[in-house]
Amino acid sequence: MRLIFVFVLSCCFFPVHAEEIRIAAATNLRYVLPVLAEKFEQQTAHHIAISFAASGTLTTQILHDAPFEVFLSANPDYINRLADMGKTDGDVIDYAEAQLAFYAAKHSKLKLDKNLSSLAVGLKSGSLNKVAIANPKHAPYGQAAETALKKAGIWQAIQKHLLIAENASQAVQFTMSTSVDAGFVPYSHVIQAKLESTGRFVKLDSMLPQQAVLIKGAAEPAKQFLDFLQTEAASSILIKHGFVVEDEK
Amino acid sequence: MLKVRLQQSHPIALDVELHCERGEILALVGPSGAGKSTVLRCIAGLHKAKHGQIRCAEQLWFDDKSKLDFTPQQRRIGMVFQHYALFPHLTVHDNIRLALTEQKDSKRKIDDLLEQVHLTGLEQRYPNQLSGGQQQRVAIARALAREPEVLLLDEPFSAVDKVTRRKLYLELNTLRRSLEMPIILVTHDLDEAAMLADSLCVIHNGKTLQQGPPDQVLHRPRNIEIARQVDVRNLLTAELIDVDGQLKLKWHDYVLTVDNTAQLTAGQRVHWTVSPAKVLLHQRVRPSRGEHENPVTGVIQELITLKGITTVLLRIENTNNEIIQMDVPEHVAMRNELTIGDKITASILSDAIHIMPD
Amino acid sequence: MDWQAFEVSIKLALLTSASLLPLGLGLAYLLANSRFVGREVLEAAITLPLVLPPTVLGYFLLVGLDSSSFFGGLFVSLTGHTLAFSFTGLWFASIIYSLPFAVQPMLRSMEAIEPEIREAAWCSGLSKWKTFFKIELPLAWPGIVTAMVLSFSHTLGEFGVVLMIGGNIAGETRTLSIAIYDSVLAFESAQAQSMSLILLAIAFVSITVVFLFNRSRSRVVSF
Repeated sequence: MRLIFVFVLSCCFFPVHAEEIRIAAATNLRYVLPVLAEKFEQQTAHHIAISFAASGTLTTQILHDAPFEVFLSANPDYINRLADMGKTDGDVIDYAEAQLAFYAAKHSKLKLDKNLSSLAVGLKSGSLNKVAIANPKHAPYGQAAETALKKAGIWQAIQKHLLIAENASQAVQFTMSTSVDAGFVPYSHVIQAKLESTGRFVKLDSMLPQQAVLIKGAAEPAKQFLDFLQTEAASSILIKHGFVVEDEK
Repeated sequence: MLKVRLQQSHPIALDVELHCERGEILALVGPSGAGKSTVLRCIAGLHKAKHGQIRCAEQLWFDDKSKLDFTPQQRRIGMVFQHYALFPHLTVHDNIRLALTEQKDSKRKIDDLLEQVHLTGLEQRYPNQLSGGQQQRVAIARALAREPEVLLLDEPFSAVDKVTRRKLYLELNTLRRSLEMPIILVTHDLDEAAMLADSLCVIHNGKTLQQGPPDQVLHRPRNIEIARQVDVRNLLTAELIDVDGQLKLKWHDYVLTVDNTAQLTAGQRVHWTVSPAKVLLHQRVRPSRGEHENPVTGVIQELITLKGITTVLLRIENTNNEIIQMDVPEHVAMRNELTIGDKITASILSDAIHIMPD
Repeated sequence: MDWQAFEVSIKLALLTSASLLPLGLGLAYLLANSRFVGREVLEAAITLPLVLPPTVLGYFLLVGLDSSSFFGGLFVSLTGHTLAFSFTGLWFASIIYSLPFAVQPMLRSMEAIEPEIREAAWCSGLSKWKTFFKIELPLAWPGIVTAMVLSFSHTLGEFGVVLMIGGNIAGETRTLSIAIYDSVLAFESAQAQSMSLILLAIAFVSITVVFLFNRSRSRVVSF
């Protein structure tokens, strides 16, 4: 009798079905990660739970022992910080590169080109409204945008026109406002069917390394997911969503 | 002269008619919820009745037909609220000063008013530093500062203890002689009304039932309803009969002589009442001379002595145990050694019998 | 320490509470002294920001202040500037967001004034305006001070709404609370700490002042 009781109890603590992998992911993966997760779940018996937030927010949470097992970030600095604090387990994996897009919603009259010349023109003539970027202080897309603007020589001049979003997704949302002429947003977002019809864009040359790392204490299934990220199947999904995968093999 | 006529059906039903002369105190009496305060508020301009007219001196303050309705500020009224409603953040001096019609010479005017209400020297105090009686006087002074055409008092003595109340009664009496305006006093206390008023108006369920001198209203109410409102003692029924061309009251086996029988006919069933003060004891010790009017005999059921007056509850014989109350001075009761169970005779004065139609 | 952000926060808080003084007084007076159909609905609407998540308010403001909306478009045509992502937009948002903090204390203190006192003032010859300034205002004073301090502190601490509709523009919509958030995300702990302590100190001092003021006031006016 007691044995059955213990058995039932242990089933409650150790579910017979596959374990859940908790993943912390930067918001630019909002569209591609669910697809990757579904593929992984099909191949294995494991289930994935994703938390999307700004890389900085997630880093702080992990530093305070939030129960994530995998961290996917677009900002190498945050991953390094976690590694320095001994929160990671094993090597950092560069599994893809993300791209930056210069995007304008339907209402905007701004011409879009890779050199951002329309911005310079708009600044000079005083006709430029607001431009949205993610916060360059901590968001990688914001930093990439800052680099691009500096390269175009208009970083100082455009300061007063910048709308600084908390993360890349909010930058996209800002561009929808009629007060905003354009924004620097993840390329992987603008090619989504939803957004394609709401505006136009041009892909910029910047490349942002996408990194993945295991968090200390991660279980075996989490390691499996990291391996999966480097497979052909994962690569083709990533490419379809606008990421670049170097063919290292 | 203040003339008030008000009618409305909601939110509170009103059917009011009353008048008050200059220098006269009109007491508006009735139970709680009778509408007394509503009437006062209408006169003050704080409530607008659906129909009616309010005229003060020669001025029309309210007339629904001509859509005239003066605001309280436009009327010159002095209102003393039940809980005084003094401005708590102002001194006595400033409370009164706000109500002055002209700010010129304010210090002297305020000093005069305070003297009138016997509060000299307290002008720098705040309301929460005054006793109930003092607050009341400030309220009166503030009302008078307005140089009003009419003074309205809303149960002004209800929040004060009995001792202070007696003092205030006397002061009001003295004060009103120097005031030349109609004064309306709202109260539910009949004794207070009887003591202070020149004219008494009974109101019940929003309807004014009778207005007249207190003695008349209290002891000669027009009908049984009013009689109940003014707490008439000795409320009895009888039948009018014709005796040799004169109308007399047949009450059980007794035939009583009555002085006022105008507009009454034989065979009528009526209510009748007599003031306990007008039922005279046939003294055992010193037999009274003169005619024994309307003698009745009965057994003393109860004796209640209060403030020098002994109320005797007399169960009259052959009347199915009906009780007549009679008030005798305490010393008379003692001298006659009245005791419960004694059989005594009393006279019901015929000019004190008041008849009310059924 | 981002002094520019501090300045923006203080300016916003001062401007908002100053605007809420007449607005709050008017609404409180209306609710305290009138009985009209829809009175409860009005009171509920005013109290709504108290229970609404800042994100909901932020969403509706984002849509409502946009240049394509009626209100936003009107503003652009009148001033040539957009209402969204501007200090003025934040000011409007703060007024709505802090409205219940201004109206509630004022309303309570006005309701506490017995109606007989107002009536006594009218019967003494004071017009409704004079009654308001000489009688009701002084008696409701503690509630008014509380309202002003609360709306000041509340606006100072605004975050969610500013995050959604501010655009984090330096010198215009980057408030101190946003600057603190940025510093935390960028792991600038020293900065984050000093700015947080300043906000904490201001909030604590203002609340204490309110309590002290109310206590001393109640000793004079007790009835």
